[in-house]
Amino acid sequence: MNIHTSRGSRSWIVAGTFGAVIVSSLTACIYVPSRRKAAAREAAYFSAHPELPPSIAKAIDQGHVLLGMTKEQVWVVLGDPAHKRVFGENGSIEIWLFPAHRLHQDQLHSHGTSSFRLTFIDGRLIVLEPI
Amino acid sequence: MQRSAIALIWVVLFSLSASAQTHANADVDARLRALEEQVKALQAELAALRAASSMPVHATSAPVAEPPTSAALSTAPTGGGERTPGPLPVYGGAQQSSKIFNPDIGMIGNFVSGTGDSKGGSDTLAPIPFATLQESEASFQAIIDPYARADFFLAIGEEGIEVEEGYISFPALPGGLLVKAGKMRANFGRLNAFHNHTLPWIDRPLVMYNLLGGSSGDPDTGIKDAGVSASRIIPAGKVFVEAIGEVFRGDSGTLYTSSQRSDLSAVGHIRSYLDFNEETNFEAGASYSRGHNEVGSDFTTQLYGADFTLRWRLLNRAIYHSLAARTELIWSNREDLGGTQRAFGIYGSLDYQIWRRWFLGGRFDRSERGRDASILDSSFSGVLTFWPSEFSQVRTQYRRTRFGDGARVANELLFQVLFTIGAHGAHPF
Repeated sequence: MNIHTSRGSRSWIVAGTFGAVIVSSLTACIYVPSRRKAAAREAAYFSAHPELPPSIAKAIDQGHVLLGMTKEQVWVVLGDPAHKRVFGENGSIEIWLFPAHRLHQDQLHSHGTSSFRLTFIDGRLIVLEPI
Repeated sequence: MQRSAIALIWVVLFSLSASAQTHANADVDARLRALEEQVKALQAELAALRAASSMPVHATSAPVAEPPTSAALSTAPTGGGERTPGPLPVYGGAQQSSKIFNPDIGMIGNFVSGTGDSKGGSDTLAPIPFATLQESEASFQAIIDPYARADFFLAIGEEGIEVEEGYISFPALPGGLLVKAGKMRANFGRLNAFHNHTLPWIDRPLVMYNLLGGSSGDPDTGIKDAGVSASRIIPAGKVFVEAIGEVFRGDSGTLYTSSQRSDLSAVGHIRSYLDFNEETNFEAGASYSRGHNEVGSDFTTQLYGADFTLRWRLLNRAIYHSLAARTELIWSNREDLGGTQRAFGIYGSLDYQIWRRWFLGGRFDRSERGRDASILDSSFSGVLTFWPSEFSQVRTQYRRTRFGDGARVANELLFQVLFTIGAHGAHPF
């Protein structure tokens, strides 16, 4: 009896999990997806900064983050950080954390890691590390 | 008379011509005025669009993404062209356009070589021959649609090919939920989710072979199975907290066996991260996993894990010196016909970046075996790593392992070359 009850509850767990996935996916359709937000961010940034160096413009266009980028440029590529801390005098050092699925540009050291940690000093990116 | 008539004709023709010229000039002026008004209207419209779509970023506050309006999206340029001050912005350059129907493809080679001896027996941990291309990992990654992306990682060994991971992710779900479905490495503990080539060593720690994989012959041990994973970041002030729940089919190497469809396995993981200061951060995690083992559906294996990581990086010389200290503790309760085997394993490691491209590290291992907790294996490793570039890595590792059965001792010198080719594209979400 216990075994049957246990199996029944497991079936509900499976059904509930897949149901949640489907409902979540359908619910997502009524939201503006993040990918489109990224495209809109790019559009706005490129319009406001036609003087961008070609290397930076190409990196943003391809979704790459480069050392030396400004906070705004990183934000255009990756969006809002999942976590943010400010240190240093006058908040000159900022640490941003992003989920790993946002960025795939260092596949030798990042596969399986859960996050990327970005450190800015005086508004410029100086460290990008998978953690 | 004839001359007068000719003169009159000339006068009439001239008058008509002058009249026509006047009308033509008036038409041109009118058209020019109309065009000027149209240009002014377009300029005003462009300025309004720029003003509406530009989002200022403040230096000390997190930028907030505004959902784009349908008008903004419909007017967003999407074509190619040159990036000059005049034209509108460009998306998807020629490089992306040429592979628009292809995923990003990458390939990672993992060449490993081993030498040394094993006193008291020839068996050792995940035996490494003199030379082997232990794994060639092919990755295929692409955005499916605005709501999902797909990731495939195929592990191609000398004996066959395996889907190491293959899943669809839904990163745009409301509420900050990230859902994955497919085959994946489970988020148990710290290292289980890591691919082999991202480890700071050539091999995996003993505890993973003894308690998570059950097979000492598999170099890529760990919990990996087909199922569904859901994770969410939990707001907790200065601490970054992430909770992950996963349900799998219940087949994972020799650790879990699904004798019937309802024999599922589950993994729960909670991870917290804290920046002590701008140079030092700390990460702690707790994990639990449960599944059925090969003895039968009424016999389960439960795993409990705790992991801790301390990182330090000197920001003044950020690319030259860093340190990472890791430890992971795992407890296993395995039911079988003779009772419950309660085994414990631990590893600890220290890795220091001595120069820009050089890393020196050490690791100790100590683990009982999941199937026979009376056998205790232990190991020590010293590791030296060199990164010629972002795309290659050379590593050597000395490993001394003392096996609990028969007092065997293996001294091995391992060598590894990692290299990657192919796409390194990123996909912003």
